[in-house]
Amino acid sequence: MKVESFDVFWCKAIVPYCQKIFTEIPSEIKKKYRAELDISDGFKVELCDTYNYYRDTLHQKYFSKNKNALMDRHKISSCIIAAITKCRPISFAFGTPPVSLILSNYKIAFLAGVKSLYLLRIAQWAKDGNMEDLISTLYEQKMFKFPKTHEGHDEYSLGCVKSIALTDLQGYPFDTLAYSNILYWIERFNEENIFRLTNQSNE
Amino acid sequence: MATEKQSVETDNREKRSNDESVYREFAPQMAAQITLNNKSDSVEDLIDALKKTKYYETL
Repeated sequence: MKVESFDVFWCKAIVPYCQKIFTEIPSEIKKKYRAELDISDGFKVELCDTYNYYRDTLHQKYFSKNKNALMDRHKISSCIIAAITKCRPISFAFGTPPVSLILSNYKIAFLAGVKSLYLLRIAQWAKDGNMEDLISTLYEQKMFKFPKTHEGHDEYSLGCVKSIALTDLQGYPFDTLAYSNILYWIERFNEENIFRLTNQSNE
Repeated sequence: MATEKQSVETDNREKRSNDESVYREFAPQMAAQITLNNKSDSVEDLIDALKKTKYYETL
């Protein structure tokens, strides 16, 4: 991906979630664990390079027969999650960090990835044309919604964050294909809600 | 009888998929035969389209 295109995800999805989640960490925890947020230009370049690594790896591994295939938006967003998970914008001192601090980078990764997909969904409708109702309805939401979970379970997004965290902390590689599929279903859930609201066909 | 013996010998020579190490040996070849169908516009075209929407600045 060109740096100018990556910049859109950086400005509209990654930095806002970095700032939001860093702000939500209580100041006494930030102080105790010397937590720091890196959203410098240097970090952006590192993140863009890491995204391109995951994107190229996915392409080489699974699109070897079709070298000209372009990645769909779910795979792009999944690679953004993988890159943030790898680069970790929030750093902190070890000891016994609380779960909220441990999960902070994974939360940024997941939510920035979903927001990137949200932007690409609007972009695709804009490119296809005649989708103003759908675009404006999704725009009003400001972000994709998540399905409800059953009583006693974590909220859907927290479950996703924990699964990314546990996979990474146990040393397993991020499964970009599986997560692109999860992202597809998050998008589809929102599309179906919006189709209902705007009385559009379910295609 | 001779045919049966020949069949057993053939089985002994075959690398079979119920053997985990053999399965892993052949896994890359099998994976290479699976094609992911994936149709998409270029991300640069999509970003251009996004930037042209009236919502872009406030997204």
